[in-house]
Amino acid sequence: MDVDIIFKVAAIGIIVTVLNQLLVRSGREEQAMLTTLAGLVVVLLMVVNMIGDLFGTVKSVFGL
Amino acid sequence: MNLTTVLGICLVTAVLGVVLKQYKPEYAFFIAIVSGIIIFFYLLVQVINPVFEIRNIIAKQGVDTSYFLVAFKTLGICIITGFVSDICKDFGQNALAGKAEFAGRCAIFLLSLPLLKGLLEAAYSFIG
Repeated sequence: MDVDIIFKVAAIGIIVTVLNQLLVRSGREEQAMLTTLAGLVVVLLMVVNMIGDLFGTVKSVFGL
Repeated sequence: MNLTTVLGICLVTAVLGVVLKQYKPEYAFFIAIVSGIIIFFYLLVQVINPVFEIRNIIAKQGVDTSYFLVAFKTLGICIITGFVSDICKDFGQNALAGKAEFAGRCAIFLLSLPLLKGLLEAAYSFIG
């Protein structure tokens, strides 16, 4: 029952938001967009891995 | 089976989702997906043993277990399809959710085709 993944994703979201605001205010819009993109890729990889595990488990359990 | 744990996780995720939706909506959806997966794993672990016991009992009775297997597979398809279509609805893609459910129905139909054939043959044998 590893609930910490939820908080990990939430933390990444908040950090990316703060970084984005920081970079935008200091006039570096490109870096801000790149930071947002990087955060998105990281979280997306984590989520895709978990979805892969989910589908694999359901397939093996239900014999699909 | 700790129900309050599951309900607590749902609440916390909902609150986190609202907080994050103002700044970065995509992270709210990621949290929803991740918590859905975690809750599913937690419930699967609890439920799977009794289900296998039921299957053993049915197998012991000598009843043909193929019907139970088809029903069991249908249950698996329903779970996955429901999970994906709900996520699509969360994203606001209702058409996509409909497509996912339609795909699930097609898969179930293909799965139950042999049963249908058996049923029809049995019916004809009575009539003929």
